[in-house]
Amino acid sequence: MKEFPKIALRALAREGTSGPHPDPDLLSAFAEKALPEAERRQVLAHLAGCADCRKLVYLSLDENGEQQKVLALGGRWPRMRLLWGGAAAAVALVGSLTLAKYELFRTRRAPTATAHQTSEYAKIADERAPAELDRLRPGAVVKKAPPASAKVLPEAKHMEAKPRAKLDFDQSGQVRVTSPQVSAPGAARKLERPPAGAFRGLTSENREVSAEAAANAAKQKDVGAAERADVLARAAAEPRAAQMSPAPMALGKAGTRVVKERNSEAAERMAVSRTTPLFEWTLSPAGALLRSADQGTTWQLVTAQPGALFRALSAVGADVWVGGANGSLYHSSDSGQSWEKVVPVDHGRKLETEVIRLDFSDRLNGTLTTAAGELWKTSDAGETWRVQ
Amino acid sequence: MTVGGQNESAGARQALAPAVLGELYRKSRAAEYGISSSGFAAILADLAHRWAGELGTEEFLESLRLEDLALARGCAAGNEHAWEVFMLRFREKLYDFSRQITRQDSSARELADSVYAELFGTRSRDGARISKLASYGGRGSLDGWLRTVLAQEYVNGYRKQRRLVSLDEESEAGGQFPAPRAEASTPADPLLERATEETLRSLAEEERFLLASYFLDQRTLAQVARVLGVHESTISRKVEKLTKSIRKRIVKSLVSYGMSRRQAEEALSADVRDFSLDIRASLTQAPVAGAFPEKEGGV
Repeated sequence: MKEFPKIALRALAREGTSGPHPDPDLLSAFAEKALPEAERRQVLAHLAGCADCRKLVYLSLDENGEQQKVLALGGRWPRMRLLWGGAAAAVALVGSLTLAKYELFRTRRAPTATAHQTSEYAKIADERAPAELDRLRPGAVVKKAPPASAKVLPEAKHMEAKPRAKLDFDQSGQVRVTSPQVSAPGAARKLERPPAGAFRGLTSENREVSAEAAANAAKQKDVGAAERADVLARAAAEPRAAQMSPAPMALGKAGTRVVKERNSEAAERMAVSRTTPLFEWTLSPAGALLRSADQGTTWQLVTAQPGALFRALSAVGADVWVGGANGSLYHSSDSGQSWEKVVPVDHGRKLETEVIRLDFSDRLNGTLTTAAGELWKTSDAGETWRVQ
Repeated sequence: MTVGGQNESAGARQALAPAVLGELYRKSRAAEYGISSSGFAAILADLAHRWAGELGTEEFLESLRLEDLALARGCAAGNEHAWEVFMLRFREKLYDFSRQITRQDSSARELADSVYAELFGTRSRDGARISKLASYGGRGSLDGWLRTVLAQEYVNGYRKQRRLVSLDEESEAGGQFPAPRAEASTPADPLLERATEETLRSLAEEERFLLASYFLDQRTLAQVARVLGVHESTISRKVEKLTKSIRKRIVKSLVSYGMSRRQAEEALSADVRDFSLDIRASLTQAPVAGAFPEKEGGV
């Protein structure tokens, strides 16, 4: 420490005080730090210049308090222990904060990658949606079947076919979609069958079962479980929602489709058939019916009627409608596995004109347009028709 | 009987709501020491009038040591129960405090007895005994107040004894005919004086108190730290920092007055009065030793 200048020391000693000396009440309060700041400063200012009052303050210090304080500290080693303890506590705190941050980061990332596997909702789904889901899991242990009443599934909802194709916007406001995969004649027969795991139907199964879990939970009056399962169903469906076409398609000429946007509800768009994989559909320029299970990468020929060529196509989920020459109209409710010929009749008049356009908004409601300009409409999945 | 002979401050008392006063009265347990609620209200009103200042009256009164205040004022009023409690709590403590101050058992007992007499009240005014406890205002603890009173009594007693010291003792101590203080007559560089005073004036109250305690009173770092309520190491750092800072500030002031930095450094380090101190010390020793008769009167 540098030596304090003696002239400053003398000046300090010469410093006088003004005003009366503080009484013992004030001095004891000062020593006990019981004075407000302003008053404390006044007393300090007096003490700085008054050796007598300083002496009183120092004399009145309680030595027992100091001894107790020293005993409490316990010398150097306890102080060191306190220091090291503090350092260890700080390290532990930093570690736990880092861990907590990592966990938060991990849980935030999880839903985008494997939401149905890792989230709490997925666990609830495992408990609530047993049999159907278990059958889909390779190597999974089959759970005990739920009660028969619980197997009543909600009505399957449509999903739009959406081939990967080029979109052309014309001045009329319509969008023309050209499928490049089927542009070459005979290409349909060269197409490969996509691998089974690539079917989006697998995930649709999961979603359907999750929806079923929500329904079952609601039936059991378990409000909390129903809410959780409902959230689960939505959470499971949402990651795929972006991949699904938001609008049904109507197909015009072979190889060309006219897409119209529809304002159907999000739940209807996301809900899909429980048992049937989803496909994308198109017609070749020659009029052959094709479907793709891998978003248009490969296409498979589908035979609705041997030798038949089609000009119009409409697909809503697993329900597929195709129409063509001489009023031929076929309907499949299982994504093309089986076909049924539909003969529209209105007041005894059969449809015999070529079908050039089909437009189904859902499984039940749709219209067809003939080459003669007639518009036929059904609202019961083709059971009855009316000419508009 | 008006407790402690307080001057009532009607304005301050009226400012307090009866509910607040009632709560303070209950907290203080003044009733146990024979103080009526109106008497206690008068005490509080007087204290608030004297000390409340910028603090609100209610806030100030809440900060008081109400139990200690009631006990002290009860004792001052001569309440027996109050004295019983006081003796129970403070009898031993008074002797302990006295021993800490005087460092001698006999002196400690004498000091404690003297203060006891003051506390009980040996004088009277208008037929009423005047107790020192009546001056306790409850701002600090009664323990702390008693220690300060003991210290004050000790210092006063020491001064009285110094005034009564015999000439033989003074002679033995070598201070019978002390030489006149040399500092007053020693000329100092006026610029240096001015720069120093300005620098000291620019310090905060706490800094000046710290310097005075450490350098003038020779208090230890621990003692200063306890008074200021900080750790010793903090005081050590502050002292070092202040020492450096004061030197720099004085030099800076001197430079601003027109000195070169080198001149300013020299003026600060070679204060002529530093030499005079040594010379005076030598002169004080010279007559006692008498070793150099041939130089008698040579200084």
